[in-house]
Amino acid sequence: MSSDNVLEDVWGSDNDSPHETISYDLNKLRDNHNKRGYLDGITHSREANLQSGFDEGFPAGAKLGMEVGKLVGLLQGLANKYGDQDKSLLEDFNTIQEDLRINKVLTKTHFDANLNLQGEHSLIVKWNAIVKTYSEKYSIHTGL
Amino acid sequence: MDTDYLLGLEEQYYQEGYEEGAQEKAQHNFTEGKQYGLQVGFQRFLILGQIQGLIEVIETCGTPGTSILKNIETVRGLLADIKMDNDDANVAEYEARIVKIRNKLRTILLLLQRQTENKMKDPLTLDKVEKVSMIIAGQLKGYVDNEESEAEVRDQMQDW
Repeated sequence: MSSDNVLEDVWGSDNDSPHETISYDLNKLRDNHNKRGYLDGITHSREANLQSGFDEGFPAGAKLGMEVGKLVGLLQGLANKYGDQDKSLLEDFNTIQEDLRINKVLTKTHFDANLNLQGEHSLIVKWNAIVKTYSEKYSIHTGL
Repeated sequence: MDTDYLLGLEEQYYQEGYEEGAQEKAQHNFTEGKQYGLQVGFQRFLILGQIQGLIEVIETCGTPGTSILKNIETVRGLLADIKMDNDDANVAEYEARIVKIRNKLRTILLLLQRQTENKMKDPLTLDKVEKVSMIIAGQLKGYVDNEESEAEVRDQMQDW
């Protein structure tokens, strides 16, 4: 078989010798089933990958939420009790609600390309120190 | 060519296509799912951390009575070993516990209010606690019932 014939096998040809008609039909068969498989592959893996990504992200998000929540709760409790006599406490309670908003905590800058936290979250570290100061000032046992 | 041979070929071509399709955007979809998982995990556990912080203040500030302390212990127990993953059974457990925790906190805050009557101009309520939680975490997509807050959640996804 010459190399010309090999190419004709791949691409088919207008020449309808029985051999080439079969090649052409095989290619068509291949295209059809390939495409069907490809679309199914995309659909199924999309769902599976979204789900496994979600399952991996969820516990990390939960941990961050818990940490942020604890800081916010401590400040809210303290601000409610001592806010009228401690203006900076009241201000910090307002600021933390801006500073630790979900869209500031969950941003790419705090994560690597695989969305894993890079070391400690700098905003949480920052507020940890602030809340710790107030906790000590008002003798709250927080474990911070 | 017999039928079995052709069916085998069909299967083979389908599989080849399937593999290719499955690889396509696999990483992209995984990352998209992970962003969303981080967000939902954060939203669901923020309030629990907040309540944990609050009860520590309530416990150590002032002189809470025995029934307040008892309720605080119950909340602490409910928070202690709560599972932070998306496993179906653990999500169901979370749902059951958060109802109890909310109710207990409401009781604690009411008891506190009664105990410190007149001394507190502006007592803490469950409503205020949840409002702060909402400011920080936005609204949970699962519970969204108007378009405005749905847009808010989508905005967070775009912040990444």
